[in-house]
Amino acid sequence: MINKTKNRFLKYLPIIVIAVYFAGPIFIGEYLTYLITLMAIMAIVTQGLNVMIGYAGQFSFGQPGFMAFGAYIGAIVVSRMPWIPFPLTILIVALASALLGFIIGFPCLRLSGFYLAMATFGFSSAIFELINYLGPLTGGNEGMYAPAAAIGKWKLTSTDDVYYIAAITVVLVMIGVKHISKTRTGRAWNAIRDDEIAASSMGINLQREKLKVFAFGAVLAGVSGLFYSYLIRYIESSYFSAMGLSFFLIMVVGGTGRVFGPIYGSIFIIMLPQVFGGKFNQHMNLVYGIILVLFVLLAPNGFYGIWDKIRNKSSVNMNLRDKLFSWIKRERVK
Amino acid sequence: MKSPNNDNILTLDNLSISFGGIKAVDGLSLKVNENEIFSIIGPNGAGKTTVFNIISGFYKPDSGTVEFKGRNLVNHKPHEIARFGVGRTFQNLELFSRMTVLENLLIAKHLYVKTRFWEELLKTKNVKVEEARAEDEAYAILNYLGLEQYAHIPISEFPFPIQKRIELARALSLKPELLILDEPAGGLNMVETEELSTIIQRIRDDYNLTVLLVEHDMSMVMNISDRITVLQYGKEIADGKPEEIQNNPMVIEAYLGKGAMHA
Ligand SMILES: Nc1ncnc2c1ncn2[C@@H]1O[C@H](COP(=O)(O)OP(=O)(O)OP(=O)(O)O)[C@@H](O)[C@H]1O
Ligand SMILES: [Mg+2]
Repeated sequence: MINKTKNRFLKYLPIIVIAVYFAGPIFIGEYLTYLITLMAIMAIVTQGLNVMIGYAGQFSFGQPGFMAFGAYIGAIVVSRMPWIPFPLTILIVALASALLGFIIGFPCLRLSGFYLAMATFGFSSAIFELINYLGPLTGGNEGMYAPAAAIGKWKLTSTDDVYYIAAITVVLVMIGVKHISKTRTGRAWNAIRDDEIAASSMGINLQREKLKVFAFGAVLAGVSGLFYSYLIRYIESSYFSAMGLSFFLIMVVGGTGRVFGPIYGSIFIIMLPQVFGGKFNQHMNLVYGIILVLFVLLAPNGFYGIWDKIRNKSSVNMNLRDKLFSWIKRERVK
Repeated sequence: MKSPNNDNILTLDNLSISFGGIKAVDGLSLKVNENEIFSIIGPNGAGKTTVFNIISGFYKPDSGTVEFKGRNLVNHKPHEIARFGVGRTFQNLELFSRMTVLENLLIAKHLYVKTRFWEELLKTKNVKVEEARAEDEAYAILNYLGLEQYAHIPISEFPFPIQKRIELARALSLKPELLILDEPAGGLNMVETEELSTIIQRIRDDYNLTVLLVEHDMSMVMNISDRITVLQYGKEIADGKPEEIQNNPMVIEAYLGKGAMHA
């Protein structure tokens, strides 16, 4: 009975989290709203990484580059054409990021594991260099102002506005990824993650699926970069280059390959310095590094893995074993 | 049982491949007729698996052609060859071992689930219909092979012989016209091997396909094969019906070593 209640609670926890997300700004102050918006933005980009690595097995250090690309494309386009309504900006950024994802994905197709990680890291570095180099367009090292989200005369400048845009998007992204994970494309991505030989002999076009997942990760990174620019309103390439480790941390802490992992991971990572504050912030990267190592060693499947262990004690897995065992006995009798 | 007709479904012509000086396959030619069970046998390292890897597109031969239903498969990728109608199993199993039996079979439905990426994101009605259909088809094959009760159990929990059968089920889910099986009886005991022989013949008849088989278990090969080719050092040393192969002195020598004939 208690187990049942607990399972039900765990099942609905994501929905509770989402509800809290939406009710958020009504009850909390601006600072907390800002933090939660940041969580949503981090959860979106990390979801892309999570799909690439956790679902499709394609290691990428390219997310900070795509995120910066999305932020700058949005800022450059909208500062020239302020009449563009923000949903259209999101679409433009998404399409541009997807295109860049395909372009970057193409030469990376033959690479995997460590080499893929290095190549995508190189891509990120190149993006930052390019941003600094294209001074007249991007403000170079100085950075540039990013226009707020706007529809017509209605400017969405407050933190609450960005909060709602990001919160709605993060929910849609989670639902979309949940759907994908249970259907044809998600299965194909899992297949290439686990065994490329088997996947290709099942008719899966490895190159096409890798390009798809690259573009998908790029879109999520680009869009979250755009939202980040809405939130902070002034962008520098160094903001993005400093984020590389965070995405991995969020992914691992939440639970690699789990749909809601990035949400839990980003809550943890963003609340941690808030809870400890002061001294902690000076050594944040060190602490993050230690946390990453600890999780990889002790809880490689993140919070979700820890939950799974708790849930293993319930009846679900025992049933599987019983089934298996009874079958072996039956087979021996034959 | 249907009698094999004489239309070639697969023709290997003068196929050769070498790895660092070793000729793994050396000028191999053979014709497989539609609807027959054709076996390739030979000692360890004879090049049997290599032939399979060439047919299914994992290796590119140095020379020669592989013609399947009138199309040259050389230069095609494995996923295209699967689409053309060649399904295979692997000597050492290539199952997705973390996934369940059903998930493994659904992956083999990749070519048959007609949904677009954006439809999947939104989980449209079409996606639900296609997914349900794929699942029904997967269950039909699981039922056919007596595996339905394991649908939701991860592969890694099964003993080797059952994994072999699951891999067969997965290959069948591709709806192949040519099914190539690399040592399907490997690791099976005598009873299981006999059962498998019956299953392979049943599959050939019920699914109306052609079977290309590599197998070391001679009783099985002699029992179910319509024709056999014997390889040694990548070369064909004999071909014919099972009884012809059984009595061929070259074959006996290849298997038992020089001098066996005189003993
Ligand atoms: N990718 C490869 N690289 C190098 N050598 C290879 C490769 N694949 C096969 N070979 C070599 O080709 C020869 C034939 O190997 P193959 O696996 O085809 O034999 P087989 O007939 O399937 O043997 P078995 O009955 O043991 O499975 C062997 O000498 C093997 O070492
Ligand atoms: Mg072999």
